[in-house]
Amino acid sequence: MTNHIPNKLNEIIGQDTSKILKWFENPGKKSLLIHGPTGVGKTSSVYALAREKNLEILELNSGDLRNKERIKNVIGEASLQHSLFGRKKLILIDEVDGISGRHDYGGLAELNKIIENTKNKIILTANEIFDSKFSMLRRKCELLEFKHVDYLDIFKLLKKICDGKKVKYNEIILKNIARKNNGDVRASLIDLNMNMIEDKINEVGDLREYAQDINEVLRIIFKSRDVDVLMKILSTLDEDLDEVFLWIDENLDKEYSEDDLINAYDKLSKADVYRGRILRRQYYRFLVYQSILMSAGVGLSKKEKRNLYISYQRPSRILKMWIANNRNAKRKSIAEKFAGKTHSSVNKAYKEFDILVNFLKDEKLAEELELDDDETEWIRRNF
Amino acid sequence: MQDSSIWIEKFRPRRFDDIIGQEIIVKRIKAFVENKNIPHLLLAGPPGVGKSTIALVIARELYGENWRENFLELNASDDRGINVVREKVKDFARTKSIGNALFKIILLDESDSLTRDAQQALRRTMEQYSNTCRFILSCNYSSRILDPIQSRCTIFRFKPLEKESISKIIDRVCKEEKLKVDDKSRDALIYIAEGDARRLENVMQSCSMISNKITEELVYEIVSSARPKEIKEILELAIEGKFSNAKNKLLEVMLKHGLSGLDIIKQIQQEIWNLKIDDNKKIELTDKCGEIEFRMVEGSDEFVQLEALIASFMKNDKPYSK
Repeated sequence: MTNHIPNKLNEIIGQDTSKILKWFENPGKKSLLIHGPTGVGKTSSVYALAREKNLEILELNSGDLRNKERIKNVIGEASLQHSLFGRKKLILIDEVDGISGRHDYGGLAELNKIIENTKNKIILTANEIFDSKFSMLRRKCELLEFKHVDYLDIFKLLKKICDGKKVKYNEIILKNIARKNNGDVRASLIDLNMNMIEDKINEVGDLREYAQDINEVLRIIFKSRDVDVLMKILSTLDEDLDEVFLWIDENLDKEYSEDDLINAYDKLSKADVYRGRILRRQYYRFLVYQSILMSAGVGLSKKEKRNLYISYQRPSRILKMWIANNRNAKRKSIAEKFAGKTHSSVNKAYKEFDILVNFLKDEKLAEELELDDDETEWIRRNF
Repeated sequence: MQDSSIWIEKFRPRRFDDIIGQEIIVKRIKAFVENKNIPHLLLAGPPGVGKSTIALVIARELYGENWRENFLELNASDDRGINVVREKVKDFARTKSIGNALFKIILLDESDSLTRDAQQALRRTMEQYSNTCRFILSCNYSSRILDPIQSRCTIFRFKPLEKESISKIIDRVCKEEKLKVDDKSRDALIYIAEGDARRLENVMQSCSMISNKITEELVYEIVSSARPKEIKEILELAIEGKFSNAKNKLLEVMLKHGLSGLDIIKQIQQEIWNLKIDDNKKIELTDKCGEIEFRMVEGSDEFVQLEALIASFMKNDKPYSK
């Protein structure tokens, strides 16, 4: 992402960066915690600030080991001394919520201690800070929230970059890039870069892998309570609504529990009613209701945000059903033969198969029903 | 067929006098047959109470040994779209009957599963060929038969067989097959039969494969294999708040037994009353059950509807505390 590096805080789009400057000039607390979604400019702001104020950045991010020892060695000292040559230090702890409880044992506690005693300014960044394990950090730091960036602002930025590089572009393509990325500036810039071949912006292909996309959508539905974000999330997604429906169903109980789960399933069940009506009557206006119930309906069913990290599973139900149907094909064909010979209903024979099968094992009977070898073999093996 | 080894065929009555139960219906239809003329008939009622049997008896009594020549049976497993009604039924209906018979008979089993279009097509056919052909329609629910068809038929409503009738059938089968029943196993058979002679005979034949002494335990063991007891476990898991376990088990049970969402919801509705929960709660859950069954009929994903239902079993009445 070499095409746009903000050198000044006011080049960061969509965020109120003047608050960072205000904190820097006149800090109430020595540490600032910037939190918000991915790719909206948290880290970039810190670097822009450093450039603007000629600061030396000492960074520890999730690529580093961040256990107690390590944090103490790298940051502990630095937080207490001033630079020798007048260049001020700024300590950046990036992606605090990535500090792992297991591998980075004791890291958070050490960080709390450092923040308490630091002489230098520290900026921390995080996606989600409302987990109780961050309660100490929340109290000790000034908090600043970064939001999703409006896609039109991203679009303007992309346009400016293209103009600056004298690259030819089609506005619709730029808008698509901006819209597809859901307020994520970094992802939009990456996509712009990828599609910038020689001096032209090409048609946007599949920008991101599908699995990544759907994971992001699920994360927003399950984690966000922001109705504007929720309402937009499905309309920005190109994927099949039915597919999303299955993903939500597969993963809902990993994210929600108790009343939240009950309410969310109620919304999902109603979404399905609209889906049924669409299929039966081809009345596509109902899509609006289905989609809102799936996104905002499920999203707002939770009383509070949850910050557990969950890795979402691909829907497995359809595959299981397919396998079972194949397995039950013999059951069906035998039930049909039985019903045909006895003036009875196939459905009923299929349902009561477990009763019938006791005497269907009988050879004479199998012969009378004209069961073939596969079918008798199947009965022998399964019952 | 007489010596079929499938009991529900072996013990199917061949003559009016062999029929057990449904006395009033039998008497009236017998009177038609004695006059050598019958109207179009609509036989409505649950499975295993004698609808097909009566249709077959009519054919035998009217046509004698060669009854098959003048009798066409189409059941739901056959393809019965509108084209079949237009071609197969018409072809059979318009040709003259064989022998001395005045008309032919077409039996449409499970006619409530005919599509609307097929029923519409049938309506004209019934009228056009009423000189040469009579229709006997059997169905579970007469409400699913179009009004114009109902109005062209004489309707007979069958009820589940009474205890006494079921008991007589038990005797008949036991005598022929040399089986032994005691009072308890007889009660068990009557209970599980639910007024359905076909179900009764299927269960008895299953029992006979294991022992010729039918015991109460044996009866219930045979039947429970088709009515999974896991449903109760699933509901209990949900009540304990173990939703994910309940959900996985539910899918497993449905797939293993090949059950539809409606099969499951029917059992859940019955099982609610066996749970150890407050009675008011049972009413509330029954209401929810009905709502979900409605949504299932309207919706498209049965499993999601069931998940929504079992999720609501988790609800405890404590107010939410923050």
